[in-house]
Amino acid sequence: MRNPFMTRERLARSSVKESFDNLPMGMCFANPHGFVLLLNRRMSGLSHAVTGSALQDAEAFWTAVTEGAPAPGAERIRYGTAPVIRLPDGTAWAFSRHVLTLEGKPVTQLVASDVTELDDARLKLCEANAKLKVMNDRLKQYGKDLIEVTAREERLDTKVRIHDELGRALLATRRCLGENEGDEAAAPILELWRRDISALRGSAEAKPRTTMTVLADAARTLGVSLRVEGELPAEKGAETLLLSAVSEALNNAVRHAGAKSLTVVLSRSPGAVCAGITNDGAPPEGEIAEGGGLTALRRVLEANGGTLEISSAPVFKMTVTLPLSEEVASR
Amino acid sequence: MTKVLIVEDDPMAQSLMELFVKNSGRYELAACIESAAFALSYCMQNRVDLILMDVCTALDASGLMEAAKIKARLPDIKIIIVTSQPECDFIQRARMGSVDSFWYKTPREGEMLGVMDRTMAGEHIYPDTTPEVMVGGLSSREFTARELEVLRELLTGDSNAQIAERLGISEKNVRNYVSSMMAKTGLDTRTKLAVAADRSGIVNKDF
Repeated sequence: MRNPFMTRERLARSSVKESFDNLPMGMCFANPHGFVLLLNRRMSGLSHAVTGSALQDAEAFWTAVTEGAPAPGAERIRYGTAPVIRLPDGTAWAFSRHVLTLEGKPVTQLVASDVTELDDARLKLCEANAKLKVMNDRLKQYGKDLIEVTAREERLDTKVRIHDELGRALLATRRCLGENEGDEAAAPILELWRRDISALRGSAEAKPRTTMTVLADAARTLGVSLRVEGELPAEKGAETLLLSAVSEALNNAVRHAGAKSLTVVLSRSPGAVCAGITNDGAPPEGEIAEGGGLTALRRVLEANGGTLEISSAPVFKMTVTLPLSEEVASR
Repeated sequence: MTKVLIVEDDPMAQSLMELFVKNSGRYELAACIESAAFALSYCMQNRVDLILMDVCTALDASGLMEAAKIKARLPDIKIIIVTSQPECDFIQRARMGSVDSFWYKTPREGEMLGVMDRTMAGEHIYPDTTPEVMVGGLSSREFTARELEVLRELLTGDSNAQIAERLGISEKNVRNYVSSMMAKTGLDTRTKLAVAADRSGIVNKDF
C-alpha cells in the first residue's frame, strides 16, 4: 500500500514551487551573501527585463534595481528604498527588500509588486494637475482683468455724470440768456461750467502711469526727492520687486529718519541686478529692529532668488540683489 | 477746516473726489496719493483728519490693510473706505480694521459729502448689503458665509485637502460646500464655479 503521507509530501513540494511560480508578484529569497535560495518565475523574468540578465546574485540585483541604469526601454520612476521601475511593456513594478529570520538565520526577501494601475493613476493625476495649473493661471488673469474692468466702469459712470451735468449747465445757461437775468443768476451757472470743465480736463490728462512715476509722485508728496542712478531692469517681475524695495525704503526714510532725499543706485552684473538704497536722514541709533515691512520684503525677495542686506552704520543702507533671467540679461 | 487725504489711483475718480472736497467749503484737500502704501507715512508727517481710501490701489497695496495700520497707529484719523468692488468680505474686513465708514463709489456729490459729514460727527456708516452680482444662476446674496469662505479659497486652484487645512474644516465638508454651490449656481464643474466667481468679483483674494 502506498504511503499516503509520502504522496502528500511529494505533492506538497512540487505544488509549493508551482504556486510560488504562479504568484502574481515577483519573489526571491537569498542568503546574506546574495546566494539565491528560491526564485519565482515572475522575478526571474523581471530580472531579465530590468538588468538584461538572469538573477544570480540577489544583492547585485538589488543594487541594480535601486541604483543601476535600467535596461533599454525600462525607466526608474521612483528612487529610494522602494524603487518603482516601468518596463517597456508599460507595466510598472515596485521593489522592496526585507531581511527575515528563518530558524535563527537571516534571509533576504526581495518582492516586486505590480503597480501599473497605480502608476497610470499617478500619470493621469500629473496630467490633471498640469491642466489645473493652466486653469489656475487663467483664473489669476481673470482676477486682474476684473479690477481693470471695474475701474473702466467707474470711469464710464463718471463720464455719464459729467455729461448729465453739462446738459444741465447748458439748459441753465440758455434759460439765463433767454430771460436776460443778471450776473447774480449767472454766477452759479459759471461755477457749474468751471467744475465740469476741470473734471473733464483731469480725465483727459490721464496718462498711463508706470510704477516708477507712481513712486516718484508719492515721494514728492511725502517731501522726499527720489534720485535713481542707473537703469531699471526691463524685466517686469524684477522691476516690480526692486520698486517694492524702494517703496519700503521710502517709508522707512520718512518714518524713522526724517529724510528729505532717497538715492537708489542700480548696477548690473551678468544675470543679476543690484540696488543700493540710502537716504540723507538721521542714521539709526544702534541695530535696526526689522519690522513687519522689512521682513515681508525679505521673504518676497528670497522667494524670487534675491537677497536683502541691511547695514545701519555709518548710514542706513539697503542692498537688494535679484537674479535676471538669461534672455533679459543678454539683451 | 477738515483736512482730507485722498488715496485713489484712478485719475477720474481722484479728480472727482478732489472736486467734491474743494467745493464743499468745509473740507480742505491735504494731498492725493495713488498707493495706500504711503498713506501712513504721509499721516505721520502731516495733519490729516479724514482719509478717503480706495481698496485696490497702485503698487498692489491694499487700502484695507493700510487703513487698519493707520487706525492702530493714529486712531484719531477718520477713515472712509471707498470702493466699487463687490467683494462681500471687504465690509467685514473694514469693520475688523476699525475703519470708520464704508462707501460704495457713486459719482454723486451729495451722497459722498453726507457720508463724510456723518463720519466726522462720529457716526459709522456701513452699507447694509454689497452690490448684487450673479454667479451662474445665483445671486451673490444667496451664498452662506461658509460657502463664500470656501469659494474664496477655490480661486487659488488648490485641492480640497489644502483648502480644508487652511479653513480648519474637514475635506469632506469642503467637498460638500463646493458641490452645494455647484448645484445652486447650476455650474457643473468646480472650475466653472471658480471662473464665474472670479468674474463676478463676489470674492477677491488679492487685496
